[in-house]
Amino acid sequence: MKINKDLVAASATPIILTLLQEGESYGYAIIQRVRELSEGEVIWTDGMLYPILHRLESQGLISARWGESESGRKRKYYRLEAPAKEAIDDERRQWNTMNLILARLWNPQTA
Amino acid sequence: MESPDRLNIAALFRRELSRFPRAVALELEDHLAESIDAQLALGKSLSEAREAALKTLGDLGELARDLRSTPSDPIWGGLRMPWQLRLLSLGWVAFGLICLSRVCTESNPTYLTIAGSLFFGLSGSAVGLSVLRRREVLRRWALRFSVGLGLVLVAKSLLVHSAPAILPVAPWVMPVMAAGALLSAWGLSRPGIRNAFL
Repeated sequence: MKINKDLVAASATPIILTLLQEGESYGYAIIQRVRELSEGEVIWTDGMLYPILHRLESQGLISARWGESESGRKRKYYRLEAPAKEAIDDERRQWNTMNLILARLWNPQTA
Repeated sequence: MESPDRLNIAALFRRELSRFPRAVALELEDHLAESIDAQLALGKSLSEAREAALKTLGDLGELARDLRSTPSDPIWGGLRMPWQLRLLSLGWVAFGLICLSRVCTESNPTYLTIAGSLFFGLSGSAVGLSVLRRREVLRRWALRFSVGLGLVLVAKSLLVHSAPAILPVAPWVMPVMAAGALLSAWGLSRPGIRNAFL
């Protein structure tokens, strides 16, 4: 089963923010972590990540710093900023609500 | 098999990365290097690894458009403005250019003229360049031009006209200029500032 494109796009922000709760990271590593967590079900085009990271940076939810990779190449690392906690909580509430609505619709006896 | 550590990723993707601002191109270079590393580890040839890395990155034209519409640049991003302010900023640029021209035309400009001209000229250019942000190549060249012009004007004003008369009575001028040069060199050594200029 492949997750449809719209759902992937909608879930990208909470996924990125939540992943960065694990610690500072960079673009390629974030993509790999998503692939690992979704066991290949969620297909992200690598390029879709960067506009989202830059938007979150401009919103002050994450910050970036330039560092170096093990091979000495320049690498941009991202980490969460304080306002991100509230944003993650808000996303969690929204996704739980949507999940609850769909669960009630699809499984009326158990809901 | 050549290690990606030794590959010049910028050269390998020069054409593809040329459409992105310098800072974004650097970030994508790192991504492509990691991606190529993974592909080479799977036993692919360099050309196959290159193609696969580009394919996973997706449509670069779409990525460039998405990034342009995202105010991410810490220096220029915050200066994006509605059209009314852009018009105002163009007026500021014109005023700045007039101020700069005063340094050229006055035979012995005062420090106030020099400082005011540089402030309005360079800040006007900076605001104007934010208008040009969507034209990355223009922005870079305009910024280089304005910095170059500023340096030429300072040199002309201080060394040709003012310095012979001022230096004997103002010994602090040279240390201040040296400190300014050191500060500029330090600023350009910082990746975030350097990427905005180069």
